[in-house]
Amino acid sequence: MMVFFRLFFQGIRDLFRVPWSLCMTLAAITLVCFLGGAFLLVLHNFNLQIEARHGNVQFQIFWNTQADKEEVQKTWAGLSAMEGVVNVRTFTPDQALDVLGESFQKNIDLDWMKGRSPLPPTAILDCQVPDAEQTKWAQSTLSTLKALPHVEKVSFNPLQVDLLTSWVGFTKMAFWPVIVFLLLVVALVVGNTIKLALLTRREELEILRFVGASRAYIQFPLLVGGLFQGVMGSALALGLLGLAFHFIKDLLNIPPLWITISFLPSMHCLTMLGLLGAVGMLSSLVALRN
Amino acid sequence: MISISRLSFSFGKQLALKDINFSMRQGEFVFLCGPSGAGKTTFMRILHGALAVQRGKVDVAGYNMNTLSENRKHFLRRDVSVVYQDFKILPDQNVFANVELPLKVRGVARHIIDKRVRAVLRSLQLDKKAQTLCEELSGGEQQRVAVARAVVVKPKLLLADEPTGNLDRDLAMRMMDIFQQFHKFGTSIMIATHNQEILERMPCARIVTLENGVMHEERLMHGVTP
Repeated sequence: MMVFFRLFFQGIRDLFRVPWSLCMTLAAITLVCFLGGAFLLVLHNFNLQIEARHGNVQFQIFWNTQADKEEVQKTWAGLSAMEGVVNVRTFTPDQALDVLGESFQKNIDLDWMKGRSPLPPTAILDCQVPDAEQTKWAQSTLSTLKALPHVEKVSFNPLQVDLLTSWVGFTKMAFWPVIVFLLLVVALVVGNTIKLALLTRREELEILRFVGASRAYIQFPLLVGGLFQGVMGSALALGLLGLAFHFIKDLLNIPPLWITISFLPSMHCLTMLGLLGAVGMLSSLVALRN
Repeated sequence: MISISRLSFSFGKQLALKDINFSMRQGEFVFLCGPSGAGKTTFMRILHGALAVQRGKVDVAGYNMNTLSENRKHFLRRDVSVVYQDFKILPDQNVFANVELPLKVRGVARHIIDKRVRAVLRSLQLDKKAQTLCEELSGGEQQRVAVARAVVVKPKLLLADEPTGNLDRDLAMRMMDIFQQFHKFGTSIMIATHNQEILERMPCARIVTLENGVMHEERLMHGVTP
């Protein structure tokens, strides 16, 4: 066990014998990991936003200002029974006026318009997009809503459905190729550093062999070196990402977005450290085998 | 200890060793003589597993060199120590670190390493240079470090390629005394040399001569043929 720990620390110590090579490798791994981490951070926050909205789309329905109040309220009662509708919010002209007043942050007093609001009765429908035939569903819902009595206008952004579909498809398509590409870059960088270490220490390793060192005795510190470079590089990248996050976390927290950027969950960070460490070790092994 | 039959070795088209038959008993002291380029170093490198056997059959310290895989060669090297002509020491490490290296790779306890290394350094008059970097030593001192590293593990067989080549007469004789001491404790020793004076210092040693890759002479000092 003593020998194990001695070789483990020797593997790390050996890396510092060529500090420039170590610095360059760590810089390369850190930059690649930072890039990968930033990509994961963007994905993570996009997914959070989609989850927060539960993958919903919104329809906003405006009735004619002259429409009969009771008839409109009867229609509102039936809205929640429609296919895909998860939430219905309704606004009488006066309620709509209140909301408008709030959006001005009380800078403008609209109370004098109470009882003679020019705004139309409005309803906002949050709908869950079905898994299949999303565009067809959106078109049919839009037609149904437009056909309701006294409806003057229905606002709906078909891009929401398209974006949702595209985003899910994009994340499925791009996630693994990008991650595999970045891991491959890390593997090549670490592998080359270990090869360089093998070349510069060729005589020393030859002497070790001559004095009776086993293959494991010679190779284990080099594997530890690969592991250390992978873990250290990803830790530095996470640190850098944390620093960048500190500056950008409130970048989108402004009207009308109100989006707070979240950092990667600790499980993601640990996976990144473990994965990069494993890749570093594996590439060292390949370099040693070659 | 060593059993060789019909060993041949070539570098490309150049034949370095030709059809060699040789055997060495445990505890024997053998001088391998011959001019430069005769094949002495090649012969020693084969015995130490640094060169693979191309033709013939070679057994060293109980290991069949024809079948010994790279993964298991360290077992052979723990029984057979070698002192190479070019020393093969770590120049950026101190004398003590170089000499303790074979003990460290064997996982020997620290206190035993300290004791054995200090004893060997003392016997080779290197104790005052223990903390000196090897690159700061003279050729003769570096050679003594190489010898110290080879003998510190008390090997079954010690191979030494021109171990006195860089030493003055007195140190060469002192070195031979050390080899003689180890020989008395049962270590088999093979020394490649062309120094006539050290041959005479070991009257009971066996002498083998290599010339142009051919082992054509074998005799004991004082003219006794085995």
